[in-house]
Amino acid sequence: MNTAKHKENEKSKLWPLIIQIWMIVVLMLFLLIRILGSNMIRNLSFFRRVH
Amino acid sequence: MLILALKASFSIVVLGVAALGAGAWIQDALPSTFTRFDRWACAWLGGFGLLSLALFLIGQWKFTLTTIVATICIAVAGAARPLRELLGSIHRGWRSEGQIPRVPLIVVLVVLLFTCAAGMAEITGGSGSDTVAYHLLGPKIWLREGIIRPVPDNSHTAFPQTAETLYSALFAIGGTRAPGLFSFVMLGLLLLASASVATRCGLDSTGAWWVAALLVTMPAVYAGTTNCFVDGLYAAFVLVAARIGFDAQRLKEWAMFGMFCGLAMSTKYPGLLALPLLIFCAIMMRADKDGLRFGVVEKVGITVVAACSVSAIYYVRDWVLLGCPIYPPPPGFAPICSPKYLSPNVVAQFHSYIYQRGAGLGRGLVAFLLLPFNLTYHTSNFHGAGGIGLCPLALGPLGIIASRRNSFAKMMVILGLLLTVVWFVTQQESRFLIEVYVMGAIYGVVGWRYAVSNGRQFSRLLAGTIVVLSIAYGLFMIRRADSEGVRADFSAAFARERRYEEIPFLESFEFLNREPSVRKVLILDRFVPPYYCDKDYIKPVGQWGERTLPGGPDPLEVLERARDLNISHVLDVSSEIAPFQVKEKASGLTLVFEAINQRVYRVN
Repeated sequence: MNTAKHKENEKSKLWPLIIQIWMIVVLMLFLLIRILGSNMIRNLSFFRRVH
Repeated sequence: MLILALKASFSIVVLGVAALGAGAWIQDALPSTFTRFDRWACAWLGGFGLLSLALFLIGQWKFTLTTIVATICIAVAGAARPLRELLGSIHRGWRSEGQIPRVPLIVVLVVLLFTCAAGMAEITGGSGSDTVAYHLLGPKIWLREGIIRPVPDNSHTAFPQTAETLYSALFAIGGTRAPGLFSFVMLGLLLLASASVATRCGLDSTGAWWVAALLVTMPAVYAGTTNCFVDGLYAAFVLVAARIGFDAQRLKEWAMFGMFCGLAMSTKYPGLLALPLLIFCAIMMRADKDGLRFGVVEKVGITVVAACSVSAIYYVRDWVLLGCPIYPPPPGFAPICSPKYLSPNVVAQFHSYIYQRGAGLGRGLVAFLLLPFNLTYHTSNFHGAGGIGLCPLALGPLGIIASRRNSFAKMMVILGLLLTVVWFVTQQESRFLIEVYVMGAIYGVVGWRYAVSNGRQFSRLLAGTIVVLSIAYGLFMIRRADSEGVRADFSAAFARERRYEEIPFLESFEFLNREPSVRKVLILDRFVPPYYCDKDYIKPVGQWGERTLPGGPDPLEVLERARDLNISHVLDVSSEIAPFQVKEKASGLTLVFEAINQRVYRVN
């Protein structure tokens, strides 16, 4: 019983953290690519597929 | 300027009231679960579509100011009761609720006002601008000729014409500025449709306002809805079709679903591809609720019949007049029909243009999986028109997770995915995907709520920053794109400068339009936009290579027969693509006007 509760507790702590990390990643990429216009990021082969 | 604005505004008010009248009956045919707001939104949008359809049908016979005004008057007469009810409910709603969230309200109002101001500016641009090349070319020529017919020198005027027919009515009543000003109504209709879907996805009215704020600040949505583009109206029809179809129970509700699918098909060709997807999702929704029964066949049949009845006129007309129901024929269609005015070579060139332009963000599975990233970050690299902001990527996935128990919201996700796949494999033009961007905004707001409810202070801060940044970035991009139009409203000198800069060969058009002896103009260069010519004209070779005269003669061959064709003047230009075509001392022609890279001759 305690283990299940502990797992639930861990999950409830982990999920908001995942959400935060996701939002930070999206925000940082936006700042780097659109605002700062970083050529380093623009030129990554990952993005160079864009026509 | 003030008189132009008043005239244009008057025509829009009249058309808006007429649409209320034309769509009043729709309210009674909607599912019983629809709120009063949903009913008004669907009825008004549907009213615009039906009014356009009525004008288009009448226009096949006669399209003059008299027939337009008579049609609109009949619709306005039907608007008395709904108008009274609408004003009453707005008054009651204003007094009882009075809690419209201020920030999104201000954002929406700012963008709508900006759209009005930008829309009031004179339409400018060359043949590269779709607005000038065909969205407004057709309406102008229909009014001049008194009948609605595709313009032979631009095959794109044969596209389905719901929005363009409304533009022509606006032209006739409100003058040349009215279609541009109408953009804010288009944007408003899209917001109404989006709000209806948003509330059905579980958002309250505050959430729907935030969806509206995110949407109006998505540059791609703004670009596809304003400047006389038709993509926003198309997206609104698709969204309302889904809204009705996913909740349809009775046969007449399925017929209503079909009608909105038909209106989408009457606005843009992608509506043909959206129809089976919408029907598939509506069936799945029905199966999810009640299980799959045989009765669904009848309902699907009613839907298809309603959709085809509404849109048939556009396709049958093209088939009869131009030899192909979808004109110009898309890839794969050419072998089964023989399109008038288009040689096989021209059709092949058109297809290669579609393939090249439609490649967008690339093909293949990796490109598809990268779409969310590229649509968010690399929109300026293709025809992305500035992007869709951050919220769909940052908060949308959270919204989808949060909506997993809402069957309507789940089905909207499936529909969005299917529409994206079809868009991806056909033509990747960002504004063709507006209906999916609307879903992105809705799930963005749902996800924002979810992130706030699941997280701590820091999550709220992050989600809030994303929303603020998204809106601010969108406002910046929109301001940058259309600020010249707004400036032209307030500065006559700048408006004049803008005219001369952006309208190609303006001096010649001004000469031809003011000279009373000009009866019919021969335009030799295929890239000269005839939209600016107020006189009758012949363009032997159209923008896409259309051959508009029997036998498909070249411009110089037509020049030899100028007198037989009753041509009074010839417009010859030198552009980046081709030099002057008339030789210095051509017999039978007298040079009557000359400016930089442009010459006008009188036929002796």
